[in-house]
Amino acid sequence: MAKSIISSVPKDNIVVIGNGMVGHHFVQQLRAQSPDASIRVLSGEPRLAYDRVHLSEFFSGKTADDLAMTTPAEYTLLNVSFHTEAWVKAIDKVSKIVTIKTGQQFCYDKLVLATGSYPFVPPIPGNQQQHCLVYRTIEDLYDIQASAQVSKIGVVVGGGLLGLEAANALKEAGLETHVVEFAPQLMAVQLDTSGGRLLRDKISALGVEVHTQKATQEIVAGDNCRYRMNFADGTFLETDMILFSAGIRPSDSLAKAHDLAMGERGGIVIDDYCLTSDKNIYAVGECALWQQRIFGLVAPGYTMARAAVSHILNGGSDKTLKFEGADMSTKLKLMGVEVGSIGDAHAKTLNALSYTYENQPLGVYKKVVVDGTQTKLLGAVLVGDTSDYDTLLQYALNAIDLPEFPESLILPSTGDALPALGADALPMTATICSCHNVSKGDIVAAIDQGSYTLSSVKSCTKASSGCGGCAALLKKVVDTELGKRGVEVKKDVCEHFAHSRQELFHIVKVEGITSFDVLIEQHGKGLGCEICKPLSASIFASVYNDFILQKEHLGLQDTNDIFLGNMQKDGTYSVVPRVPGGEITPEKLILLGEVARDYRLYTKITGGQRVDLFGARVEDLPDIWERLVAGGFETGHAYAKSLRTVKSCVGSTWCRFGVQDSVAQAIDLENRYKGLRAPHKIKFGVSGCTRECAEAQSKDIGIIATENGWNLYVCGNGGMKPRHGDLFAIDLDTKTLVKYIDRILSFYIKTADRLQRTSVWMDNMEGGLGYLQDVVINDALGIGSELEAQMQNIVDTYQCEWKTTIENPELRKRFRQFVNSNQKDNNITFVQERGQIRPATEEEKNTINIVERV
Amino acid sequence: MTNALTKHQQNDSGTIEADSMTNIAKTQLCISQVSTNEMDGEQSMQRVCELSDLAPNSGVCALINDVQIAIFQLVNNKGHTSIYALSNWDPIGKANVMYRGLIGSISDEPVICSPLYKQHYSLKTGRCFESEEMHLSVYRCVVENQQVFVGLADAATFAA
Repeated sequence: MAKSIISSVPKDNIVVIGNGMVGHHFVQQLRAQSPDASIRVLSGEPRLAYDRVHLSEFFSGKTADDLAMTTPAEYTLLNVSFHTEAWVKAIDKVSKIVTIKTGQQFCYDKLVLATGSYPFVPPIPGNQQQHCLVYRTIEDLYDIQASAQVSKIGVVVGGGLLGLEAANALKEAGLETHVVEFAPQLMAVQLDTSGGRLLRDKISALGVEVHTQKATQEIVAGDNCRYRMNFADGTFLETDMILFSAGIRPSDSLAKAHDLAMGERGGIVIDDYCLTSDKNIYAVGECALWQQRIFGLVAPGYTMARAAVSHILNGGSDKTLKFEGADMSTKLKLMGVEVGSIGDAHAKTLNALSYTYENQPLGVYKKVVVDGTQTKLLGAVLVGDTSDYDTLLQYALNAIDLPEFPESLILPSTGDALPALGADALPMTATICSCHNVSKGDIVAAIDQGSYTLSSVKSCTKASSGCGGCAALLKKVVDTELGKRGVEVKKDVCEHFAHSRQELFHIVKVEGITSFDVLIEQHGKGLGCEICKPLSASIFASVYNDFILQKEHLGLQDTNDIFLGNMQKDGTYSVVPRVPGGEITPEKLILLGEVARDYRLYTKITGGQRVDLFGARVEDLPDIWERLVAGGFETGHAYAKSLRTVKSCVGSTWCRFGVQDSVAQAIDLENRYKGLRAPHKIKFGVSGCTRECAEAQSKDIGIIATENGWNLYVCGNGGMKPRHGDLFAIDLDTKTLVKYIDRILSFYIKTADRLQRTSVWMDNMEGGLGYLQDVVINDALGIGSELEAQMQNIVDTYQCEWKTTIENPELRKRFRQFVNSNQKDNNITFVQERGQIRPATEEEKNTINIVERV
Repeated sequence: MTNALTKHQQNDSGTIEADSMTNIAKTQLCISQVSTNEMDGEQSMQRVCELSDLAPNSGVCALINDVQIAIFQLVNNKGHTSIYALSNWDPIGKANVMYRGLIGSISDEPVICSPLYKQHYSLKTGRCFESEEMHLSVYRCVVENQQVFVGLADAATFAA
């Protein structure tokens, strides 16, 4: 049998010199598209690829491992061979062999140069001294760290993007930091004069001293510090450490030594496929020169990597990706200062015009550059506020026609709706994520293929996983697209109803549905569940206000509503009578004490200014409440998603500082809204003066007395994520106050999601506070009377649920443990603590010292 | 008497059709306790309450020889009723409260949801949807002449 020996190397043998972010991206892309290609990586650093963009985070706690973009294990898993500190000595372009400094040799079919760049150090005498460093690699960071420990003052030479990042690193490392810049302003490439000036002011305010128009002539020994920098204008600066960040130069010596075509000022010449002058050698990233330009951002590098992969695998076909330049727009936060630059920031284009907005008190500068016809955006500069960046970038990249008054894009809104560029206005080709070249079309495809959440779109497309700058825009696009397709999928309340709560509320009202059986038969399926039953019960209560324990509604009630008490961990209940406004008579206090004593209940004062009695067995509840009702108490609805309490501080009646009678107001309001059921609990607060002792600003409805009336705050909440209320209206008389509250709460009940507190409701409301004010004060939707009528109906049909229960023997009968015995639940066991009962723990139940056991 | 009961035991556990209830009423049965016939495999059933003590789509609890049993009557909008009996002890929440939970369905299987921490248990098999180790015991439950009877022996094997 003849053996055929294949001695030649397989066709797809790729060697990559350099493993920075772009070299690594090339490896990832090639492996993803060619599972069989032989890939070998020669890294010049002692480690594999890491995130150079976020280098400064090293000084705020990140480690080298945190910054790593890959690991030896991962490359092994990908079947990628790799060598670190593998400096290349020679390239034999004819035999296609690479030799590294150890003498090892590797064959290649295609060679990729991803050698990046090196930091330029100006030729200043003294720049080689021990604490004169550069800022590019992790090894540099270790040097900086070591130097910082024996330095007090640090100077960064170079006020560009990287220089300011380096300055931040020194500041994080605890040094008194200075920036020395040759040009008259910082970030001269990205910002115009005014933008640069504002940036300088803001950075100085942060404690970093900026020295512009300084040319360093020499670095000599200092008197008070390690070094002294003498400038050309005769001034000087003393410092212990100098960090050079004065620009980058392409690492092209290898290419030059091997006669590849070079640019006049360096850089390896490439064509649109990233091919060098040798048809088997590519160059990508910062070492490459395309049409006389070097691209110092990661996103263009990634595009080059993808073009090179495409050409290696497909040759020069129609399908092959090309590199055709890149947008160098950038948005970032330097030392907390937001900075953005788009396109032709300096208005160099012929006939370009600009609009400028500067707000010195706020520290904001915005400029847009438009073409001569004022219909296209050419560039922009943003300092202090980059919230417009995404929109402006899309206008620029997609040549979308500007609005009639382009200045509106950067001027602050005066109450009219912002002319934001909706995600819908973006074409499918619009690039949403530049780092990973994700277009709107890619996102739509991901959603259509089953990604129904923002996080799954992110993991599927990789959008937002590079520099992260597109996060807000990505969310906007995803939300819009999901909204167009899958709102029901997102908002279905449960498996039984393909509707949101808002839709179900509307259905119940419009169709006059009064029972769950009808609702689920006509609009749902199955038997229902612990989500849709209480939700429906709440809607029925809000619309019709029937007694919740009547036959049709009984089976819908949640844990606490069903026995009109808050179930505790052992199955006993708490009893909370209403104490409107927190005001109580001595007689009523005594009655509470007697009931607690006679039934041996645990007593506690609540944050809502009332009394809570614990440890009541279900069968004792009617008797307890009978006594309380006889004494003039009503249910406190502590068990319901409803109005709970109206907290007050004593106002003008007693307090030296009170300007209105806050207690009377609180009592009236609590009596008006008691019994109101809602998507979640509602709490009010009424303070008698601006000292705000009732903490009204943390309430859903907060009212603070003024000399002229009442200020109304809305949508404050306590809980896991506290929020202060927004000031809704001022100096209201009581009539208007009540009218607004009626409308606000009715609107909340009508439109909120299940279990959505008012804070979340407000935060999710499109148009926010302004919109709510429009709906309530200006009746923008024309539903004001309807909302008031809805509330008035609740007020008019109020009944105390406990009073109704105890007066009805059939209803009382339900309150029992056993249907066939008067015995008590013998699992309920109490022990004594601080003179009162509490449920025994499991351990205690097993011991002998038990105080009460039935 | 025995024959009538045997007819019902042939149905799957606890499910009574509305028509058969009428038939039973016609036979004028009045049973307070049915004696065990172990040779037939019949179990001891105890009368616990009137049918009218059960509220539709809601639960009550019976005490039989120190065992607490939650009884649920499901009534759908066509008037069909089903009755289930399961252990009243919530094995996760550790309290005697299952009868106070919400009844629902998960993909057509009827379930009871614990009022304490909202775990779901199948009304037919007692299995817990959230935890394989937990389950509720299932008991036999029949309605005769408007009376509700529960059998103590674990009826899981009878489940359809």
